[in-house]
Amino acid sequence: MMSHRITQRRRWLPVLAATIASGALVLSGCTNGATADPSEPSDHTREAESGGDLTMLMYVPTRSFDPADDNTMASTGDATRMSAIYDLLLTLDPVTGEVRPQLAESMTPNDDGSVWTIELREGVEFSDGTPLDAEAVKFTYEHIAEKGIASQARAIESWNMEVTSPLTLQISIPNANMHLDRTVADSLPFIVSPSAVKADPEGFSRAPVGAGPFELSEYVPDDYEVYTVNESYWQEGLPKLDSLRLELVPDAAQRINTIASGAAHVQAPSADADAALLENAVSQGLSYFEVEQNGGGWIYMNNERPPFDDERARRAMYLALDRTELTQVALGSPEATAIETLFVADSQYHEADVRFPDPDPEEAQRLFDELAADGKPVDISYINIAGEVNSRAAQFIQAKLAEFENVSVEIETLDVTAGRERVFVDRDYDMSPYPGAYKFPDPEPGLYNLLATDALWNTTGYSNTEVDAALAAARATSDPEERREQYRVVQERFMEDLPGLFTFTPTITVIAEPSVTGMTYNARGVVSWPEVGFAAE
Amino acid sequence: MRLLRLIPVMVLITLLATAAVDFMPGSPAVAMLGNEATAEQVAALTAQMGLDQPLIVRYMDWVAGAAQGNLGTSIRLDLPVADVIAQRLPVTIELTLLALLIALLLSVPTALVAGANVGGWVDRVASTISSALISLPSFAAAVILIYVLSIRIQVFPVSGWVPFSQDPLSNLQHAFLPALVLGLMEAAIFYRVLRSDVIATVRETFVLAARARGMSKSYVLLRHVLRPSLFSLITITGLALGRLLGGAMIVEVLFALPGLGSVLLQSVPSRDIPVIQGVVLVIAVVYVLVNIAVDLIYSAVDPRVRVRSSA
Repeated sequence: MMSHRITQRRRWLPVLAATIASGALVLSGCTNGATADPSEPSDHTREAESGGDLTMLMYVPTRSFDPADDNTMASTGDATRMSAIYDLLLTLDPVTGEVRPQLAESMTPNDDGSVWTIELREGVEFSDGTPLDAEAVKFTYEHIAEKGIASQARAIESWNMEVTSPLTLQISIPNANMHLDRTVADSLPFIVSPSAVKADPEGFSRAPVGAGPFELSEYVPDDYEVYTVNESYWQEGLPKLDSLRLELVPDAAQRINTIASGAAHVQAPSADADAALLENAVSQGLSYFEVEQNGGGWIYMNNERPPFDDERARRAMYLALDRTELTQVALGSPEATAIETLFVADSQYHEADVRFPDPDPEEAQRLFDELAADGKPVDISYINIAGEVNSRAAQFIQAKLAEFENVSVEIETLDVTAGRERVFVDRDYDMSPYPGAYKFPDPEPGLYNLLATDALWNTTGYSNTEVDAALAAARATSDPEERREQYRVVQERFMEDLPGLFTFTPTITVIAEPSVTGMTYNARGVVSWPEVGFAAE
Repeated sequence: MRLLRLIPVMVLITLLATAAVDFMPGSPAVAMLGNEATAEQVAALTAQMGLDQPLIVRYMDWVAGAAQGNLGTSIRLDLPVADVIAQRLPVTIELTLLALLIALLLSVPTALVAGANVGGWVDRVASTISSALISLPSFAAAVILIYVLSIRIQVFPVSGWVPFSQDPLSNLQHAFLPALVLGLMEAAIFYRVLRSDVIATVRETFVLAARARGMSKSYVLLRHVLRPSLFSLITITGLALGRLLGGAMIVEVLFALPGLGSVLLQSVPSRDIPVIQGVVLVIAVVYVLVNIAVDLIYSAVDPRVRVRSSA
């Protein structure tokens, strides 16, 4: 499940070639394709020594330090910055989907999952001296709901929150959910200081106050931030580091060069699995480790309009495209493999016999012909979101489908903002890739949000009453067997309906200078900072 | 009078920049609200930001603000655009000027020697190198220099910036490599132009007379040949400054420097229109001012230009 790779070898020519090739594409944000060169393992779980100043390179500029403004919780963006300031209330294990306490001591449901109780640790304070208590958690969630930007803002509006003791918050929810703790760990892990928000509501997004291991001490927009140790941090002896600097370097090749030159130590964990980048990193003496997750590279099909409102058209995509080839082209690696099942083999929900259809060009052609004869030709507008992996996938799909009759693909490439508007807001598309990969260590909340009718991320418009019922039943129980049964139903219906196209296995990948250690992260790849540091020589 | 030319140029350029951004698909509201935004939320936020107004209304509002020194507030950073630019402009200007200095320091002495000794080894070597540098795209030069000087030898940082006020030495260390990348191609162009003018000047009778009077070759080159050979160089230096300003913005991206180029690059995907307008305005102002300055310097160096313009 987890692999660790490192090399110390220095090879002039391949490195120079890789640098030139990748650098030549810097301006377009692209990298070349090549084969990865895995070598001896590195233990990134070694305990860190105390001390040291670590620089992490970030992908996107800081937009806000207020959790109420973050709608993605992406590891490559503000969430990893916020984690340093606020710490995490709970963490969601990226592999097992297990919820672990951090700032909160526990989060437990009543018998039917309609009321949840958050118990907080005693003595935890924000860096301004305000106690991190139940009132603070309630205030934070109300603040998020009021701003209305974060992904869970609308859900919080339906919550009834009651402070039952200084360290106890009860949350009553309208529909039973035995897994609300996963949603909180995944999307609502950051708690703000109420007194700091009240003192400066406008300025808080740039002068945050949390109870995390670090305090923001310097912020230069679009450039870097410096964080110094929060002397009142609740975990004694932590954080390991003396200071932390998060620096913006948008280009992938440049990030690797910067770490290789010694000017930085690690880049933010990402779902970026481009083989050429990893090889470039390894060839420059860096290490990387990655964690495979459930889910996959995900290409939406619009189930709400022709041609993909017809199940035959969606199935024809699976039959016409060799997803292994598609994956290898997209990731730039001849060793890449496509996923065969919705859950990886290690998952308790893995069903080896419930598989995506194998390619069958003849049957695909028959379906294309049948659809054309019914007056439903498969003429697809493919909204490509700019980026090397996405573009290679789009071109592969277009080229492969050109080999068939009665099907055509027109690619329109847009940047993320324009693509979001077309796909997520206007729903004016036939096919389009999800940025990165859609991953869910546990089906809650990830699979629910993807497939339930009108769920947060259900951009395909997919709706199946059996799937809705199974997802709701699985959400309402904590019995592992019952959950497994319900998710089997979901997987079986998925394989019949094929609402979207799953491709490669998603990973959380960290590229670092070899001495960096102690890095753990949640299911989104958001770093938990207290233990991060440098290993002894 | 020349300064008045600024006004129509500014209006045209900023209007075009605004219109260009306006025609791009995707709104700032979508960039802010993210993937699960509904059409209603996007419309509400768009209205709240005043972006549902017609282009011309928004542009006139912006012009009215800009005329009073208010360039608006960055949608993305929630900071005054003037502050964002004030923070970034010094980096771009330093990079541009340092690149110009490097280009002049490399090209002027070499061109003088090469032009005065056509066919000599300096001429042959410098001409070959200049041909190579002109043919080499700046991004290719950048990756080679990054690899050799930053990754292998590690004398210059790959990326990042330290303000001059904070640590002058470290500032120069961070600025040198990007400035070198920018300056190399300009040095090659400067060399070619100056060399050609020097070759013509050394054949002038006043130069021959000076040599006949027994003055040393180097004295004649510096006192009699250099000044009359500079006219073309001054003209192309003005053009080069504009080119360098544009080039600096690209190099800033390559070296992840916090200048105007990188802020512009970050602002386009988020449709941060006030920042885009402000940066375009500043670039246009600098470009026009540089050209006016070049005209003035040119006339100061060559009296014939003064006579013609006053005639």
